[in-house]
Amino acid sequence: MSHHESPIRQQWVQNTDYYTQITEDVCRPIEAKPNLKWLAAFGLSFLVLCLFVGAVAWTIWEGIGAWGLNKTVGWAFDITNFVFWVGIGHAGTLISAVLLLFRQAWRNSINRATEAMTIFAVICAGMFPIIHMGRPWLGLWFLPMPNTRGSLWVNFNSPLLWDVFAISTYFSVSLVFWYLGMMPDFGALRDRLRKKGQKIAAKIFATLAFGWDGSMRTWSRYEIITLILAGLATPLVLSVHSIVSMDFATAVIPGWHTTIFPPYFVAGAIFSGFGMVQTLLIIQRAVYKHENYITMDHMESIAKIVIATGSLVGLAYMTEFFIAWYSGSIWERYTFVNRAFGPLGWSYWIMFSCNVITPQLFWFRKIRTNMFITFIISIFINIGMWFERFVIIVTSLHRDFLPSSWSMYTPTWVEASILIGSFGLFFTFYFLFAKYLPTINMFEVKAILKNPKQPKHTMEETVNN
Amino acid sequence: MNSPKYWRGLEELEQKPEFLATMEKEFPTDVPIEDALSNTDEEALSFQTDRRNFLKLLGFGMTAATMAACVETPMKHAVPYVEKPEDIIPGVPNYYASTTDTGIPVVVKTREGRPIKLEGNPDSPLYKGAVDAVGQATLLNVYDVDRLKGPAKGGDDTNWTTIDSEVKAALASSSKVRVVSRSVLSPSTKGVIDEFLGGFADGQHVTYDPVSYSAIAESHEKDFGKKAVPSYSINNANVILGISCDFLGTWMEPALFNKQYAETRDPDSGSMSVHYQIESLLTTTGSNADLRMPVKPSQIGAVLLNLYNKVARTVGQPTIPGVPDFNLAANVLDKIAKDLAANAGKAVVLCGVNDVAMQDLVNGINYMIGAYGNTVDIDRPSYYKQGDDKAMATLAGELSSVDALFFYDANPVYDSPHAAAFKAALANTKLSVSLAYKADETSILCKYTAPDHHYLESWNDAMQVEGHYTLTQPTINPIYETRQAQDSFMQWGGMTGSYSDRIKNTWQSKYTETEGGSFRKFWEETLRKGVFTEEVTTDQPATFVGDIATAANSLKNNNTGDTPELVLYEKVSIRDGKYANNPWLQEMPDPITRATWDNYLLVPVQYATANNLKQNDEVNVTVGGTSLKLGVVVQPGQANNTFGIALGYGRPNGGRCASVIKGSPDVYPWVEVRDGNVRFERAGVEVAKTGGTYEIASIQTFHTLFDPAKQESFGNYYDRTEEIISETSFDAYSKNPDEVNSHRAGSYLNKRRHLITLWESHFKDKSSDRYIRWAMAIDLNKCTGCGACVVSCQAENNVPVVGKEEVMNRREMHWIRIDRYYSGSPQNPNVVFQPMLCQHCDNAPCETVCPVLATIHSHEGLNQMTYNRCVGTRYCANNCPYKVRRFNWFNYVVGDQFTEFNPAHKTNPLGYLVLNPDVTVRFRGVMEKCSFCVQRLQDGKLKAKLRAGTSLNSDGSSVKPVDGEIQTACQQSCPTGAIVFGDLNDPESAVHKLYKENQRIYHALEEVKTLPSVAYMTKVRNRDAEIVNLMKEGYGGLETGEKAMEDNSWLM
Repeated sequence: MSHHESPIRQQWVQNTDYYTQITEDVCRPIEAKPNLKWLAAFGLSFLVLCLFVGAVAWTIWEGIGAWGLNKTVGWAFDITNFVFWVGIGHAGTLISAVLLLFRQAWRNSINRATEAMTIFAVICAGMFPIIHMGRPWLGLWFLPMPNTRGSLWVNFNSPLLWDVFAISTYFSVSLVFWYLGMMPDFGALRDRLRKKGQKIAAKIFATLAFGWDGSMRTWSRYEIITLILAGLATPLVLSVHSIVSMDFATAVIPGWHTTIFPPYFVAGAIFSGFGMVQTLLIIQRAVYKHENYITMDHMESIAKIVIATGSLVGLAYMTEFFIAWYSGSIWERYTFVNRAFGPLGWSYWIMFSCNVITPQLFWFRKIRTNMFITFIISIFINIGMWFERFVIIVTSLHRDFLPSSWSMYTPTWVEASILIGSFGLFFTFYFLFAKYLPTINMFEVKAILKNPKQPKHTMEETVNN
Repeated sequence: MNSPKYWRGLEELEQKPEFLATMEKEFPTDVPIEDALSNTDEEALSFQTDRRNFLKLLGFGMTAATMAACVETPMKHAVPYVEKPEDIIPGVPNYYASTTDTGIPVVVKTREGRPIKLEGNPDSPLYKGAVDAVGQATLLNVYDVDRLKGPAKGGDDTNWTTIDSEVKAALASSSKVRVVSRSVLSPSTKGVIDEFLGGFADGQHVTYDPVSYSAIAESHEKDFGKKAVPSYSINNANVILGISCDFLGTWMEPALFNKQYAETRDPDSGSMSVHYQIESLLTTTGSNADLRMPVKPSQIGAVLLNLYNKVARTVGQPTIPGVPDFNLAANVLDKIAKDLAANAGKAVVLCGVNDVAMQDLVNGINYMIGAYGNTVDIDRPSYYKQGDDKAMATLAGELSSVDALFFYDANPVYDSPHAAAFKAALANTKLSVSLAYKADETSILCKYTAPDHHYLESWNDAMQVEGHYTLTQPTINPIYETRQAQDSFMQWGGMTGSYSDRIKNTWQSKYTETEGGSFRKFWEETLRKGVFTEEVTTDQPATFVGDIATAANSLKNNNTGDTPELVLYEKVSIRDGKYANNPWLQEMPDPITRATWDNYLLVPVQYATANNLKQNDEVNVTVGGTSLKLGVVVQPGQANNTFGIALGYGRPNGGRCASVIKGSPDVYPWVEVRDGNVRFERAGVEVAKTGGTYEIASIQTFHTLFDPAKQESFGNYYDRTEEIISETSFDAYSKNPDEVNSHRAGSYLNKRRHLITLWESHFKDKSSDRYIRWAMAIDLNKCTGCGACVVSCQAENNVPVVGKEEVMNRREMHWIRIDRYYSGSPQNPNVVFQPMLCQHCDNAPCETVCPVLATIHSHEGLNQMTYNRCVGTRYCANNCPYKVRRFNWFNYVVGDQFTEFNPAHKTNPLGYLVLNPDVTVRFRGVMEKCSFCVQRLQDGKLKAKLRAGTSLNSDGSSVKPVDGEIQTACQQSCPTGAIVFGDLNDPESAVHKLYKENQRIYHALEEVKTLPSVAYMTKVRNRDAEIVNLMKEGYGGLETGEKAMEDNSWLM
């Protein structure tokens, strides 16, 4: 059973020719007992999550005054974190949906992890609109629900309301897509665990697998629904961050009030998402020895996307400056000069160097194939993209129209804890995922195995696996 | 007929013995009590109670009940009236005319027996409704938690009977008795004190003012034979010259002077006064002047001498010989002298230096230019300041021989230059009594404290200016066991009756039959109006008899060159420190520095640049051997080598709010007595950096609209002045009024037509004209920056006080603020004030972005904030171009960090009483902002409807209040009438006429197209071509030859 193997195209799965090998590699960590390394990593994340919970609880107890905001700067870390995490979420959907539609085979081995990243990032993001409210216990009022409070209704003109719809839609579609994609693997896990006699785990996966039977009809429906969901998710990749950007673009504040924001934000989101994908996949490769599935070619492809989106973002930065000058508006001009050379100018230059200069290093093959340097660069990208949102929000607000109201912004320990803590939330989820769910899409990887060899064991075993 | 006999059953009919036995019992069958309580069965309730158990249970029960009763349940005193007082309708305010203890005639608004707001009394022909920030804030003092709660002896509580008997006993053996007080406005009070003192061999009433005006009275004694402070009528002046005299901020009676000043400054009337100011620090007054010249305090004498000679030469009077020649930059004194002389009878010179020789010169100049009888009136003196420095010095010298000392409204241990003498003497004085209503530095050293009522609890009268009387009447029951000071004096002096009767009796003499009606009618009418005026007739106007040439001798060698000098000045809010415990005043930003809560060293820009001093640097200031640590505020416009520090801070026993800021020292010890007068300027000051920092809580950290430092590198890209401020000169405005704002894109109303808006209904609804459309116009020309509106708004709208820490965090809550901008050279900048409040935009950016519709537009054009609906996203505040929205960062009523400041704090049940019940106290997490005093609008509309008996007119339009009937709090308290408010849809309304007809109308940030309902009116400076040339020549008031500064590093 041999077919033609292209000499030019990359081999997306390396050093294995056996389906069983793939199943074994992916399922091993799930079936094994948690090891010390995992426990340490998970424990640390959980501690940081506790910091998050503590800082949020303190905020709700004490009031938003616990933060460093003031009458002029009404948003800072809170909405920065929100936009940052929403942005991170974008890479997952792009990989799972857009690349699926474009039939990019290389996505098959990374889509599971990146989708998980999307889900968890959106969960983190979704926290902030609630936390940042003065009275978070009234968060329900954001929803257009018929109520007994007279004629009270939501304001459909408000971009914050659009955010609610955008984020919740995005989250639901991503979650369904992710879950659906895992069902065949759940089926496989159920069967393996049953055979190994791990009854409880098998029962759980049996429930999760929703009676997956691997029949031709199931597979055919699965493929159709995947395509439909991919089609639904694709516009969301563009729409979610466009809508988030309108929080700023529809405002009148110089530095916010610009039409470039939707594409600029989408490019930034994909850029930051891929930065985070790099960070996570490099760890996954190293820890799970998944180099055979997440190959150097994968990492290079990702790096190339990073170059492209990073350059787009850089172009956007420069366009903003040009338009600020070209508009002739004194407000715009001042805001942009102040952004780069004002008292918060350092944040602008952190953003600029991390987002525009650093990714250009990926033009060099040596750098993009060096996982250590790639990892460092990916961290820089994460930092840079966080600062991009900080720059947009804070430098625009702190010196707007009337100089009498100009002020500065200094964060407090509470805000810093919430920012750090949100990573705890993210990684707690992520480590749980990495331990208890299949981190690589087994059946899709099997589909791109170029030259599967006959298994060494019996036919029966093969079918069961 | 017998009624039939009924039986219940056969058993009863048969009357069986078993049945009869059961009939005896209450329950025919056995109740198994024993079973239930028996302890034979383990599972039954083992409650066969023996004696021991019974006692145990009884003990437990009683203890439990006692313990349960110990739980502190909050007491709520919301008790309805059992018998409703005749004149109180719950929910409807009552108004009473009264007078503040600062002497301002006011109308007190009370709700259910508690005063909640003061407003100027428009019936006073003198004040015409003017009130200042301090006057407004005196309201809060009645609810001060630090007030004395009853009489005390040696710090221990006692009762009035004890005090009275002991004081009387001590007085019986006293012969030398002194009553020390500040200026007493009340003729009846003076009568009481005089009568009280008359009972002793050597009784004397010593009056002093912490910030003394004694030299004015003394000079008038020398020059006119009448020891009094004249009254001033600035409103009659065409030329006003202020010399170190902050008459719009702190000098004498700023509320009154603001009113008078504004009357002369209306460019629409066709004429406008010229205001020159020569001063050392940049004051509120100086910042309003048309031409301001900074000079060092030691140069004032030379300025006056030369000005006198120049005026004398012009009017042909003898000059003072041997005067060293001195002139201001570009020979400005020549121009001033010329203008003063040319406006004889229509000019005034005001001087705030407490030096007799200088005041002699001022009197001489005023006399030469015919000011007496026109703008200055010594025949009709004023009584605001009657302090006598020399009498006070005499008293300080003879304290050891005084038998009895009474302090009535006086705190010399804190605020007199003789503090040390008083402090030392009080320990040994036989009888010392303080009648302060609040513990202060003097009262804690006195043997007895016999606390006075607050003025809102008192009866009194006042005579501010000869012939202008006002009454004070109680508007609240005395809160504590206090007694009015006058009653105390009457008690101790053996006078009969009560003080209120005595006032009535005093006033009986003013009543003449010719006025018609009975005395009772006269009295009630006067009390209702609160004001009574008497014609003052003088047979012969006072003539000048002074000897100027001799007086001038002491001034000829005063100029000290370049050595640093210090000015101890009063802040507009804290003044001399009497009300330092008032949180509204502590948090009121200084009009010039915009700083709150703190005392600081004002450093001139030139000095700061040369010595590398920055804002918030900490310095050691040394004067006369003592050093104090202070934070630095770099102040443009201040004379070089001159420093300023405010009085009134650092009170050791001022109360919780006065002493909460530890870094603000008391500088009264640096006030010195020179030539018999208390002087606030002194030489010999050293300033040294400590290397540390001391942060000043300033609500505006950026000084200018246009940062000239950036101009060099980037050109004029950021000059946003035009979009925010509009100013012009009187010449240009009177010649071409149309051109003032012609560069703006057409008139505001026309601009609306081609708008694309999300809120079509705000503009397109044809029926909307039938409704009211609220709008406001603020005249930048009239606004002097005094800050009365800020305090008034705070009182009206329950705006919390947040304290220094939160102001430093830039989270002050004021709904209206007065932005202050500089332009021109930092050595002598032009200043403009811009009151900024919610602009109630028709195209409101805040309304669009609120996700829950918590801020919406009313059909009357109001931008309404629904606190209940607000979830606190702060998006509206971010999107507000004017940054007028205020977020409740904390729960200010509960948070521990606000205990000391916020009047309405849970720890201070008294402070709650000042809250306006018509306005919600906002919870944390909620946005708030100016509502155009919507509670007043509703009230006014309801009144109009009640009057009309219907809510809709016959044509379906709504019944509207009369124009001017409704005033917002800021408008009401504005002493200059800079704020006009009303219905824009009413073609007869004042605001409509301004919007339609006045060319000075413009809107802030028109380019953003928010379509505000607040308009500003161009500031007009009365600078003729001559003044403009002088300013160019003299670099805006700098010494000739001195270069204008290029360095702008002080800006940040």
